[in-house]
Amino acid sequence: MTFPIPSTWKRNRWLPSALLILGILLLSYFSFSLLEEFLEHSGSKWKLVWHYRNVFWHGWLSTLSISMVALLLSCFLGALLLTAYRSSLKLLHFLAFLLIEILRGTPFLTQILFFFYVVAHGVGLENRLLTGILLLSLFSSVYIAELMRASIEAIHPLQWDSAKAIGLTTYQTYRYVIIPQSLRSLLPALAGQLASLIKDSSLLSIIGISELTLSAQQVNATTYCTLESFFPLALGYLVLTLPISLGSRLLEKKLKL
Amino acid sequence: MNITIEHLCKSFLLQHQHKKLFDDFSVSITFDHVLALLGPSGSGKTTLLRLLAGLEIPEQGSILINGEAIPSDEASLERYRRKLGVVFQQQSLFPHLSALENVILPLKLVHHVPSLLAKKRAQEILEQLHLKEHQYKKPHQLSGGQAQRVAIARALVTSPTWLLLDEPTSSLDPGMKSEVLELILELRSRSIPILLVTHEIEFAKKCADQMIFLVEGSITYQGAMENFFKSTTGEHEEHF
Repeated sequence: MTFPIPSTWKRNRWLPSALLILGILLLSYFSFSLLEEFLEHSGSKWKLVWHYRNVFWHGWLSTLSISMVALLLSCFLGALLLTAYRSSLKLLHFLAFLLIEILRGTPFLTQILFFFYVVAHGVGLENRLLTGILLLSLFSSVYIAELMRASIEAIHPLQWDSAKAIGLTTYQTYRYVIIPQSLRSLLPALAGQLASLIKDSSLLSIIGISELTLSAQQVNATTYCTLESFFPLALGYLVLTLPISLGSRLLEKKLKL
Repeated sequence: MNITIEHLCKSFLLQHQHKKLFDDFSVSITFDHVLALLGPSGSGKTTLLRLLAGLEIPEQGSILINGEAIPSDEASLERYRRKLGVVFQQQSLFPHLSALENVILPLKLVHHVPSLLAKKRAQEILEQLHLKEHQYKKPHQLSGGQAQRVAIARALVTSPTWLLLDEPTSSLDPGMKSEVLELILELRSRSIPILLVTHEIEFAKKCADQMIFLVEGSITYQGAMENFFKSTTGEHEEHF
């Protein structure tokens, strides 16, 4: 499926982002209005769950902020991991390789349980939210490092030679030649990774972080209204992931040379 | 201009095996305008150009340009490369920058020319090479010939001591080839020595004063261009 990009978007680079945010807000508004509609026309169960709308709202905001912070942190960690992996220092390369294999070879749920109950307790890290963000960032950083590696390796080898031939230093080559070009393929992939982060953040409910999934579980436990509790949960995630997925496709087209 | 190569050894990795391309290779050649480096594919032309451009380091031996040895440590090589202009077959330009930005980049970052002056100088050279109307275009908006001319403009803007062109026309169709070849002929009249790696024997004949013919890392002809066709015994013709 392809979406034509209006020519005005090419002139104004803030417009797509503004439209994306507007889209998220509109979708959120309509999903809550829809819930209100349901409430008016259905039985007492919806009314009961509607009473806890603030719990959902706070959970939704918490999921969004956890994912955004984790994305920023995982970009930083991913870049560090990639630098270590590409390092000529064998020990650094081996440590990065080991970490990547461990994080890729174990389920995220296992990592949460191990890190929270063994490592975090061991080092006295009591803040659940901070632990959750750190875990999510670490888990995601491996995939982001891989995306970064792929986007750098996709650049034609003669680009490195051309940069070298005109006398650029290694830092200048990365800063002015390689990174600007790799961002074109990296940005849409990063948007996709944000959607993954949002979905993966639901697993943080297992250690009691009050994000969207835990909020729905709490409402369900209080009201015993299963469908009415988990329907807004699914909707809450879709409201976030659908515009991101759409935005990522648009971004991919826009940045394509 | 004199190039002297002494006992050069260089191998490259082919299917996980080191293949020796140059083994105890020595040559000394002097030329005024254009030195053409010809030979069949895999003869080592591009590797020799890369060695001369300081993009590769020999395993053994030395290369002297006008009596001065090309250094082997990265920091000195970086300084050496700043004095040259190199143009590759394709993909020389940075695709995220316009033609003008491509030409400004080495002036600003490597030669620390102030922004306004760098822009002025870049525009001057683009105008000289009849590229003024294309200065704000990105490389993908330029034809192959125009892109190669911008790449040559970028190589020339820093006033290099010599220019190294690696098959600058090989990826172009005939129409675009001629516009690049005309430019090289134009450059011949300027006092900048050019090393031209090419398959275009007819063109080499027009612009080169000296030539080297390479086959599998060995020289089979070296000397004045005009004598090549007289001296050749047919061994070179099979390559064209």
